[in-house]
Amino acid sequence: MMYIWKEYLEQTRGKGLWFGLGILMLTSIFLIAQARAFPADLGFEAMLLSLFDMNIYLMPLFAMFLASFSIFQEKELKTSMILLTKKESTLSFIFKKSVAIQLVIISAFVAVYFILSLFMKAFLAFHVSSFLHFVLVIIIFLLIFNQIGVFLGVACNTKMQLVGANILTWFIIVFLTDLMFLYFLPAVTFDNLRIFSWIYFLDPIHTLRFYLEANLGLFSLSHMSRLMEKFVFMDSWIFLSINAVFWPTFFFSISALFRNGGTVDD
Amino acid sequence: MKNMKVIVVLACSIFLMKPVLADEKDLQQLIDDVPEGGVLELEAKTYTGNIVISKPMTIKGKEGTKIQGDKTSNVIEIRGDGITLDTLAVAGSGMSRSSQEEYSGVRVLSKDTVLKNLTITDSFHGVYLNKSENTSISNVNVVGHGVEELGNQGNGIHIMRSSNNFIDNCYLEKTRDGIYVEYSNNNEIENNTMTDTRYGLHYMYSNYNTFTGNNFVKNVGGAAIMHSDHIHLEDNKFSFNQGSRSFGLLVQTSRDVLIVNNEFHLNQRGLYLEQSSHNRIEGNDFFHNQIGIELWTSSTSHTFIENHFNKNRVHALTVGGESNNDWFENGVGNYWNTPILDLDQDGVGDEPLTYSSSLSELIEENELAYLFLASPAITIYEKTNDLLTNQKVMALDKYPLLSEKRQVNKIIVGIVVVLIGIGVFIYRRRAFR
Repeated sequence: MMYIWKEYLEQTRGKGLWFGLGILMLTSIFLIAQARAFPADLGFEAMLLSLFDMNIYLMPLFAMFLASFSIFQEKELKTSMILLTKKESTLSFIFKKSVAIQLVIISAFVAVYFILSLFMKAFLAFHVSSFLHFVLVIIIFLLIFNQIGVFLGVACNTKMQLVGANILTWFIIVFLTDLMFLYFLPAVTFDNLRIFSWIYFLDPIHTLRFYLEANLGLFSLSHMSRLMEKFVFMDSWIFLSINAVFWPTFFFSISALFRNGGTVDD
Repeated sequence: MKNMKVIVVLACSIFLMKPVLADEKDLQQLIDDVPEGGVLELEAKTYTGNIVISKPMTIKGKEGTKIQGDKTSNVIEIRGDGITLDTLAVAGSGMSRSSQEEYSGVRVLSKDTVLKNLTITDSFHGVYLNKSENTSISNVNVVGHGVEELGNQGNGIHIMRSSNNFIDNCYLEKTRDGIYVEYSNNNEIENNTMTDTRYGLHYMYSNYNTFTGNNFVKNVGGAAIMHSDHIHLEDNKFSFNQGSRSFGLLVQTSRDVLIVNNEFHLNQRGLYLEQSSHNRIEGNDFFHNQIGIELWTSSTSHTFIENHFNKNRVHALTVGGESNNDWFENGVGNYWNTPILDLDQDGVGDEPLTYSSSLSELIEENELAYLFLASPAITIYEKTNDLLTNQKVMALDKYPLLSEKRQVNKIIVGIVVVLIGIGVFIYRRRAFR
């Protein structure tokens, strides 16, 4: 609890969180305004998908920067040293810090979306279930990228290193991974499709978007080709759950492994 | 003792079936008793079908009038000319696919039939026109069994070898195809809505048909025109037809199709042209589709003018090599929503617009490429290929048109200004604290 309260105070007193939330609100309002021109039937759902597409660029950056700097500051200001010399092990410190970061950042972003829902309700035909699907996707999105941020914060030794690592990770996840997928796409055949499918759906951005599209009724899973039938071999919620569990666990584990930039203390 | 039991069971069954048989006989008897050209007014209750109507007459129901079929055949079979059905709910046709014919709620086999204000549910086909002429279908609502059951059910309105029909203001939902037309010419289809179907509209070997003001929303495919010539589509809306193989409108092996002033919004592909020629696509709005127009090179000699392309991932994609199509005519091109120079201010760009993309090869090679159209990496992929001159010309518009200036939404600007103001105020207060 102490960690959560401390995290809350640090984040709300800093500028980063407010800057992130502000940018998110402004861009979202423009998208909501634009969605008024969409056909009424599924205009709200299409707007949610547009919001998610915008979040693909913004949210990983905000989540990684906020989480990584939060944990880096503990090292920089030597507060981690104080905590670790008392009763905490490094593992429990990273765990408690992760929980605190996740709770504070996710709550802040979800709160913003609930405020934005007022605008959505005012301008569009609001559908609660679609909105809740969207919020769920955003929570898992933040869960994964916050944990990546925690890992980067733990692993990097200097501020410059951390900034570089954040930007590079963002570029790799958002752009480079898909460029690699596009490069290998011609080599995908019906026979090796299952492997490609696993790799595709282990990319959280792919899975989150796919889940959202399918559950907002914007992607029909009926009448698919044989290739697509084989490609989508599990329900989208199972892929989502795998991502929601696997990536945070993976990055938490390697955070414990790479603490202090991978150097081993005697 | 065993025989006794069987006799008792049989007697009970006959006793229980008796009212149904009497009811069925009642409605057929009522119909038979009406003189030619007469009107039969039904009460607000459920009548038991199935019925056959063979003479000119009108059957008029009230709210709550229902004709329930016994699920073995057509609920209402119209065999005579000049018959009108008005304000009825119809349900319970045979669903068998191994019977001699595909059954329907209402089957029309004659001329000059009028069907209006009908609601048809729990039937294989909703309305089936077979070798009939001059049928008018208005305000008919057909609800099928849903997308999961598409293979086990028929179409909302099935038109087979029937011409000069008029269909308007119908709502067709969850059927296999909304309206299916085969070997039928000169039909007019206006202001209908087709949703949650396989194809909202499916045309096969049917010429000289007109569609205006229809709404195709959230189908696997909006409308599919196949092997049909001289079709006129105007003021229709094709929206939210999403899925890996989805499209707003498919024109396949057809020619002289006129596609004017339609809206293609938020589809996987707005317009999909394959093995077609000499079609005219004019004044349509392609907005927020993954691909605005997908054109296979088997399609040639099309004319595209005054179409608006806005916020599509890819405006136009020519797959399978270069194709011979015109993107301008008599000094008029299309609105591409890209910055263009117009120094002489005649509303036409000073330079030709070449729309290029490198995605066509990728899509041609693998269907899964569609999965990446929304990816942020696509922009980098296109730019890289542009630098490496791997891009191919998708459309050459010698007279690109300048888009109209859009109005700024004052409410939204106001909200944004207020929010920024609040942000600055809070920041300043905290700074001085």
